Amino acid sequence: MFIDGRSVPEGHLVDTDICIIGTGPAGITLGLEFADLPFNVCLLESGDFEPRPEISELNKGPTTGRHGEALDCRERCFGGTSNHWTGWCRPLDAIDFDQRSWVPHSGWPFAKDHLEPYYSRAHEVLGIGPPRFDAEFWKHPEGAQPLPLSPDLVRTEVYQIEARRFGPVYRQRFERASNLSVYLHSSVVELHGRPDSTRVFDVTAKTLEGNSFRVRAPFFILAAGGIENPRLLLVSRSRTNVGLGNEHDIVGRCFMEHPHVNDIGFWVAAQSSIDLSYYRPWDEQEFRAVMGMLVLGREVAIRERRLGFSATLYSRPDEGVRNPLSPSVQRSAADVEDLDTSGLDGSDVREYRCYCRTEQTPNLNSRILLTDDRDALGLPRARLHWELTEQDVLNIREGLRILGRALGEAGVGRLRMPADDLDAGWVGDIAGGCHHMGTTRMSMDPAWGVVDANCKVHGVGNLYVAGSSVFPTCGSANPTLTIVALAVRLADHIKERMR
Amino acid sequence: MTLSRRELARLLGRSAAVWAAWWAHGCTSIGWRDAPSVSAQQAVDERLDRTLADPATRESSKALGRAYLESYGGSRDELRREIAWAMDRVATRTKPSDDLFRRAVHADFAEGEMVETSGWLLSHTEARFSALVALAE
Ligand SMILES: Cc1cc2nc3c(=O)[nH]c(=O)nc-3n(C[C@H](O)[C@H](O)[C@H](O)COP(=O)(O)OP(=O)(O)OC[C@H]3O[C@@H](n4cnc5c(N)ncnc54)[C@H](O)[C@@H]3O)c2cc1C
Repeated sequence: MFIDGRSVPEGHLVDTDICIIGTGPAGITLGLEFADLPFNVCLLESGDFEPRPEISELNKGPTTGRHGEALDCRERCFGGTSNHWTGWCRPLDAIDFDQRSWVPHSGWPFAKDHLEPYYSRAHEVLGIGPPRFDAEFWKHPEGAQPLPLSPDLVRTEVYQIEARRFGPVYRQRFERASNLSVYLHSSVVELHGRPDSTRVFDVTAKTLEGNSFRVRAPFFILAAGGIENPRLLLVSRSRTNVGLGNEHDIVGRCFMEHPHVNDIGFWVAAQSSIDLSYYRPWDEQEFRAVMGMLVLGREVAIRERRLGFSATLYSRPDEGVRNPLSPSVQRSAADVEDLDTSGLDGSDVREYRCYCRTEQTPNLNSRILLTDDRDALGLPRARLHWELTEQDVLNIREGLRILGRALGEAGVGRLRMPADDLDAGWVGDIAGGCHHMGTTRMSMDPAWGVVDANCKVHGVGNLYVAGSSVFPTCGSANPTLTIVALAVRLADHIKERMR
Repeated sequence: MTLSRRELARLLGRSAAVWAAWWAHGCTSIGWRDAPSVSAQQAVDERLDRTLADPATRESSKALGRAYLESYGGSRDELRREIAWAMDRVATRTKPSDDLFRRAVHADFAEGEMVETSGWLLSHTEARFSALVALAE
């Protein structure tokens, strides 16, 4: 059932069993898991079915440090940001869950194995294929092969791509479910606790028309995205004046993005000697597409103490034939038996490009803060301060070096490294991917985490968080498949507690 | 920095000598059954001739070699040793039918023996060969 929050009488109290704040992929997955079970679920959504400018305006806030586009890229409507996402899905790698001595504050409270069954269920929610991401499993329909690179250095995996719009796809399911009530135009402005209690009692939802109402429940789940989750915790001060779950000043900190670098030059011997079709999206019958991706090998990552790194190679049709290197080098590259070099005429050298996506180290200084400026609902706006550390930049270069080594070893080509200089142009061009992570991070230690292994806020008995804000570290894979898997897992946990 | 023809010959000669010594001390341990058909000196010489004969090849090799030399931090002797070592490496990794460079370059990358020259991530052998070309003029 959908209810327009603007029609709810001022001061009304909704009593329910579970209250979910936000209906992006995280909130909708939770709703789907709870649908038609014998308890009531109330979902509070800031937006309507379609994005509206006056509601999107609530997302606005200043940014400092790196690029300013980050806060505006989210959607406020039923389905959340999935209503304009790209749909690239890949799980985190096993190493991303490990405690890595070279990555400060790394280590999830559980290993990837534990998440595997939830990943499988997440595939159904996202409408993608079987939970396999290896190149042995995914055969290209026209026989294109992954590059013959040493898997110890760089292996080929795939992304499954299906830009499922959660809003339109799941609207009917929510309409029909006997126990789900979605309140649209209903932005939560505060979660209320009491100094003498470890519980959240109710939340206040407000509409842009001016009316407000409260929702009371034994369980609350924040699923408002990586910026709004910490923002709501920070503004909720009825229990302590530092914000909910913020006794250790960790809420909003350790914001992470996936630094994206485009247009890294890489060269091969001849245009005809390299087929990159495996790394371009190809259609699959059941869902939209599959696409190869180069990922750093586990061994080399451990040996060289690297963070997550993945890359795709592509050619730019508008680019002419170039000969940037000594033909002696060119010949040595072209001599490798595995590659078809029939088109090589000695000067026919083509430049290809490399695009990579990497992992950032958790950094306490990268964070969401509140400003004095308020939005139309009277809520302090979020300010994002995003930093890219020297280690983050080094990680990109070193990841490229390993890729360059693998390309050279296989005789595919030579990579042109970006300048080794923090002030170089390419460093300035590094952008995020609208993946907002880490701001309510998961840790068994309340001093270093906002939520525990069950995604429950430390020190608050009935408040949970869903979304990439709980990621303690973020690997190099896009986050949403993991967001959905964690939401499925959280739903199981709450169902257990409801019994 | 340039090398006279004599110096170059000495360099290559030394390379061949090292190669010969190595050959005498059990190259069969890595499983090659046949003796190489060309000596290291001949092989490097041939490649050098080929590179110098083709203007385009020569120029691009030289440019790369100069960049390598400019960024090279060691002494002239060290550099010579390094180039000699690289050329030995070319020879010692060569089966009769193989392209010398392919083997050596492949081995470099496999072992992480790389250098950034003019931004390009090259194997040490190919960078040093380019340096040799630049020095040979
Ligand atoms: C252009 C673009 C491309 C992307 N491509 C990919 C991709 O290819 N692969 C991938 O994995 N990820 C991708 N992402 C990221 C992906 O969209 C997010 O990871 C995902 O949507 C996060 O889901 P969520 O439910 O946590 O948050 P959101 O989708 O942001 O949903 C949060 C919901 O909470 C609501 N809300 C916020 N505040 C309140 C409040 N106070 N009260 C009530 N409701 C509130 C919002 O209206 C919204 O509906 C992309 C993002 C963008 C912008």
